[in-house]
Amino acid sequence: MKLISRTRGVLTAAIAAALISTTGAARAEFPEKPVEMTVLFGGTANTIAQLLSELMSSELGQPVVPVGRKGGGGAVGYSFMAGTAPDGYNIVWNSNSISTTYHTGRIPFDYKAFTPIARVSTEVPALAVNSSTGWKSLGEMVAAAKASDKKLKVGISGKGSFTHLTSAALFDALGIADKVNYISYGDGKAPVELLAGRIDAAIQWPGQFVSYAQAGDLTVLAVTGDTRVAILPDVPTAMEQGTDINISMWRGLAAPAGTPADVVQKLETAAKNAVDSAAFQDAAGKIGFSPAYLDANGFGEVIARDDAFYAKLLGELGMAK
Amino acid sequence: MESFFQALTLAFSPYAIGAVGFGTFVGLVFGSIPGLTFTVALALALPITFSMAPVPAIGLLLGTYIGGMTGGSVSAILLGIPGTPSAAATVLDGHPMTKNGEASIALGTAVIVSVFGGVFSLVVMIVSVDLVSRIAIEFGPAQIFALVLFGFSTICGLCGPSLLKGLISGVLGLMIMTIGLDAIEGIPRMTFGSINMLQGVNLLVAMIGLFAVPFIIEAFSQKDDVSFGDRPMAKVRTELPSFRLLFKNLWLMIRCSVIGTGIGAIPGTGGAIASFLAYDHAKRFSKSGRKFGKGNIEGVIAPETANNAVTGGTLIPLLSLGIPGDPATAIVLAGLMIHGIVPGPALFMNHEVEVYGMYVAVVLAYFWVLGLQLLGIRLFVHVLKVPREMLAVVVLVLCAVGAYSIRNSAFDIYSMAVIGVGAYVLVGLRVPITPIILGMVLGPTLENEFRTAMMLSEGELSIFYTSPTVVIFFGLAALIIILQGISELKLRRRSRQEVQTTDA
Amino acid sequence: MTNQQQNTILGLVLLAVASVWTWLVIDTIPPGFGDGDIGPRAFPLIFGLSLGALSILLLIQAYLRARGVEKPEGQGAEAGSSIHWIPAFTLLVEISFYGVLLEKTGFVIATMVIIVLVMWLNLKVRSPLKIGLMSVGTTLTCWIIFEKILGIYLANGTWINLG
Repeated sequence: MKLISRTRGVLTAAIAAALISTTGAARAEFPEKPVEMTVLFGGTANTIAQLLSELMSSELGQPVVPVGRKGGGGAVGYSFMAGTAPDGYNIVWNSNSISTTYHTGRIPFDYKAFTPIARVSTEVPALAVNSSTGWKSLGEMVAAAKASDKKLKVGISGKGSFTHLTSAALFDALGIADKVNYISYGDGKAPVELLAGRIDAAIQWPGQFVSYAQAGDLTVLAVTGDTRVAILPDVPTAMEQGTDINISMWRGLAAPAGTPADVVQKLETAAKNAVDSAAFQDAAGKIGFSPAYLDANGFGEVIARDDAFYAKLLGELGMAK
Repeated sequence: MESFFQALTLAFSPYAIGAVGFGTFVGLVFGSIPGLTFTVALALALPITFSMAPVPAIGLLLGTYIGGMTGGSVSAILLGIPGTPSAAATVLDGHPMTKNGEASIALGTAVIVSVFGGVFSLVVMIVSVDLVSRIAIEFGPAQIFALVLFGFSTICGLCGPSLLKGLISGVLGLMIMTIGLDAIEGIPRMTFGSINMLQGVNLLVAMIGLFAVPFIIEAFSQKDDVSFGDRPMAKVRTELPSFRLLFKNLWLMIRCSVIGTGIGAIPGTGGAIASFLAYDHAKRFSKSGRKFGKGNIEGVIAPETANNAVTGGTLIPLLSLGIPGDPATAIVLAGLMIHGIVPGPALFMNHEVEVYGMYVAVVLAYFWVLGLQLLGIRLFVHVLKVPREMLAVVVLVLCAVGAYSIRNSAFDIYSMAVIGVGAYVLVGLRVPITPIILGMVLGPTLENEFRTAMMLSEGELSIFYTSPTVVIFFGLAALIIILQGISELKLRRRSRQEVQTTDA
Repeated sequence: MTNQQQNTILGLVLLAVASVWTWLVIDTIPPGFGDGDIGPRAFPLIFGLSLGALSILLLIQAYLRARGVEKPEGQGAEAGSSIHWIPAFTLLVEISFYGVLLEKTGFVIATMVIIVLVMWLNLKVRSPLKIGLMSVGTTLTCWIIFEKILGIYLANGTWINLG
């Protein structure tokens, strides 16, 4: 039974040291209790997190518990995480939102408050319109918007969210930034609002559009990354249509800065094995994201590079604070 | 048809039947234990389903959902502590029935009408998913705002003797839910710089506090009056509702099923509004309306039929539009996605077998609910034999576990304590508690839909009177308020006459 | 205390809450930009003002009733269901203490301590056997059912942890 005292006292340390010698003598081997994974968003982010945490649980031998701390485009969860102990028992299922929340002034600390563990996946936003508009390409939409005296209503997932940023960048690059009115929807409602014709276009994740696209109700005009996405193979990128924009979102794991390197390494290995597993690869195809494992160092470089990119972009779009 | 039989064989495999049964059982346990909620049960069940075949996996999740929805009525009736927000309306008459010694009748009725409501909604869903989802998408922000406002007007029927105090209670509920990060712009409101406050007050935590903490305090303070002994809380009989009783209320059950299915089908509303609307409507149209709140069986039938009818209703936007109605269905959605069952219009083309399998699983789950609950009632009622103060000690622990388990945070235990003690004081001042929970359930939707609607219309208020749906719901809300005003006036005149005669 | 006096106090407290709330809302939450942007301030402000208005109505009603102009509170308002302030306050402290203990010492220790405390303080049980049985029994039953069978993650202590 586990009814032995798990104090960090001498006795436990001695037993732990006897069992395993790689960790420091003052601490029993990580993990000795459940690891809490803070999840910042619902929708696909939550679905992937559920699966990832389950797979990592079997890797680590202790449960990884996903706990939803949603709100403020990630600000709630990041603020919570920044205040937790750097012992590896609190990790965050993070994303580019660390840069957007910081540069839009919602959290007082930036990505350096966290130490990267591993990148897990990437997702590319997609722009869809109602099929009844008849628009087949970005160009047709732009022409129609310019000809009309009404503003284009574009659905996003909340002010300052990643989809908001992507929309702002895309419509800026298309030259119709002043003809757009953003409508915030929580809980993945934008595709339905688009279907009902209350909005003209929406930027969301491909998985949310695929069923409607197959049924012919919505037309997906473009994805904003530099390559097409597997789940929507016929949809061209914005670049292919002559609009210079390359935005995609990564998701990964991070822990508060100061988490010991050996703990990070354990989590990194668990994440790698989870991502490599057949179950994860299989789910990726179904949900509509790309597994993209990257180790802690590589992930750190990506975060730093993207942070500079988004700082500049948000500044140009006038969204930075 | 071929795929239907294929689904039947899949769903009737012993493994699938077992999975549904297991889910239902877990849901019932979590739903019926005060403090624990079936949202937590679903979160725990989800990882188990990853390695299962799609039909048993979804069956297990749906079973947990349905079991939890039904189980929520058990502690609502026995202890006056709802197991889910959807069962809050059941407390109003279910708990008085327990005090009258009719616990088992209330429980039995709750189970049977739940199954009725659930199966009714499933049939509606199967027959008309396409039509209903087409109507449902017509509900944009303005329409949902109007519907929620209509739901809010039912507060009039929940106030008890003082309309004024009921309204105060409702506004308090609305205020509590604005604490935290604002959902649209992410601006902190009334958080005083605290990180914990940013997350806001969790609805389930507040619900536990509102109903369980006053129960504990009452039990502890009654202890002083009576010697410490095996004093039963009420007479305990195990008697099930008669067929006649149920048949007499068939028409009520059908109406409430329609309400539940309809509300459930509208994305982003959920079980609580449905059960309150059903309760209000039952009270308003009942011949024995004045007995409501004192243990009227119709006050149990209405909300319990409606909240289970929501289960079938929410499947409509969930499957055809991919929109979860509440945190619980969001977890079911995640389960569907991982098994590659992507909701949306194409679902019915690509995954016919799985969809039929789900229908069968829902029916199976209701069979399980019926069987397990009718057996369970015999056990549950014995809880009433436990001395009340001992029960309160256990409830205290369960509530702490429940509040903590929702977000793994001790902050939620503190907020439960503060809200609960506040609620106890309010009850002592004859301020009704139910409107608070109504305000809390509806507040965030009310605000967010209004703000989104105004964004859509670029500030034009016309969005609120150009749509017939909106106008109808506003009209209904106004009608309820006017009717309430008239009955208040009548009551006032009558009681004034009484006062004059007695004073004279 | 009569119902009217209670209502007056309730009205005054609520009015104070509403005033502080409204002032804080105006002071700390930015308004919207107009033109369709309602902003985060509007709703809390409306709610605060409504509470203020309702509590003023409650005060007026209490005043009129005390003067005998209005009828007393309708039927069903049984007079003087008194509030047990001491048990209520004790429980507030106990639950908060439970929260702290859960974070620091984990579920098992915290629950045992709290049950002993509640039995001793609130229920005035003095039999060590009863207290012991109740606290160990409840704690172990909950621990086995939740942690081991249902798989709910109970609190883990940061100082010390059993289980």
